[in-house]
Amino acid sequence: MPDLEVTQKVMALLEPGVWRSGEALAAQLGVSRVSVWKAVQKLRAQGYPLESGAGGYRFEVDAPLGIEGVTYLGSVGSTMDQARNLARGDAPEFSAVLSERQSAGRGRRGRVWQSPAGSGLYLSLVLRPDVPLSSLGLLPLLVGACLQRAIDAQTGFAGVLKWSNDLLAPDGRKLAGVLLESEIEDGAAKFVVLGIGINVRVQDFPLDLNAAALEEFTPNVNRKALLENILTELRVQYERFLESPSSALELWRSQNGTLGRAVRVLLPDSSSWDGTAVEVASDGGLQVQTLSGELKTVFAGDVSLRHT
Amino acid sequence: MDPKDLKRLLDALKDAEVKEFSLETAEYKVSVKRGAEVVYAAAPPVIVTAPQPPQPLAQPAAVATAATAATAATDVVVASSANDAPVAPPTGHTQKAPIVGTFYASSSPDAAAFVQVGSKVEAGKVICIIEAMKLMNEIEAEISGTIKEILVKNAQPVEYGQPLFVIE
Repeated sequence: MPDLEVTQKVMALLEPGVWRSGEALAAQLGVSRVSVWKAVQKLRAQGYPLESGAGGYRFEVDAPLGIEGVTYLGSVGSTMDQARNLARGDAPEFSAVLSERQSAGRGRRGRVWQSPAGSGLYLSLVLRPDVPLSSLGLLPLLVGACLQRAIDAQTGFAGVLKWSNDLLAPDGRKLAGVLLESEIEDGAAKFVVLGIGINVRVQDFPLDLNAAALEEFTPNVNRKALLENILTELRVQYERFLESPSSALELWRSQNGTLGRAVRVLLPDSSSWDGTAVEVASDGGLQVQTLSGELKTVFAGDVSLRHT
Repeated sequence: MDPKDLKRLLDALKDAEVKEFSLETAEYKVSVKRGAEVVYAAAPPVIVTAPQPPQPLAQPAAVATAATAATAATDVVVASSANDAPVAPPTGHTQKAPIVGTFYASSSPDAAAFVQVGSKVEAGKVICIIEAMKLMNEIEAEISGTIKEILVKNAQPVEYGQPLFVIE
């Protein structure tokens, strides 16, 4: 049997939290124990969280393995690119690609999203929202609200929901981020690729990333359970959004930690100014009252919360 | 002053290595900063291309009131006063913003622009991104042709329906 085939079959036989001995696997596949060991090494090198011990081999207990509709990779350049390929085909909505590691994980405008193996949840989903383009900007707000609900439901730790959809630690560092990419043709979105990055395990973040991990605030997060909660939450709220896009606004308003706060706005043209976040507009833009009393609407850029 | 004269003027300034130059007459005003920005505004400024849509109060940044081209010295949007010879109506297809947001000429700050004036495009080719709430909307060319004008600067806010490109 070729090595690649052995590797795939070993992967298919391993489960989260359940030991399988090398002998049993070898016998089942009709290969040597060394072949099984090599396959495990290969999977581990690809980024899959595999444990070995006296009992044999197993996936870590919270490995996000075996979720319907989710392609589970060890490593990839960017899940955004993989999911976009699915979207360009006829993949149904909520088809997802999750990778333990991204070598080129990205955020807004070419920024890096650090994605080391086993540390978080990095995934991209295919959506085909049949809503007017004028409502599409509410989808990012909806996603941020869903992430917060799912994390809160599982851990009791809610974080701070910042416009448009970042989830922050109480000290302002970033726990989770969302990026969406769409292709617009003739005034309609052909599809939207929704990217979600959540920092779960504590890791050495470069200071300038200003990042934080969930487990700094709530221990022993089960990544698989969290992902299942997020997907369920997204499906429920997305259905409501398709029926009535403004439902996303209500949800976001009811949970956000941005309105009423002093903010600093850094626009894509590098201009920057301070003000107070007063309202979110019907299209999702953030209305900010400047220090001189002028009301401006922000659609893109960095809004940071200031402590006054 | 026609575009050929302007080109001659720019060439002369380049040859003489003049960094900055301005000239004002009853008909027009030209100011040139070499290496950076070229502004050629007529008095009163009338933009040849399609009119701007009404600007709501909350518009985050003013739309340029003078025709401005910031890329290359030869890349000049010509504005004309009412006294000049009648200007030919714009030809080609004006592609407008399908969504409110921020206009990006490239996929990331380090990447080359999707298109430049003179680029040939097929319908369906991505020609810009408009970001709204971290949703990066890749906007595809509505028709095949040549990019005649790019009417928005990188990283500037655009309103729904605002003209972005002229494709001919």
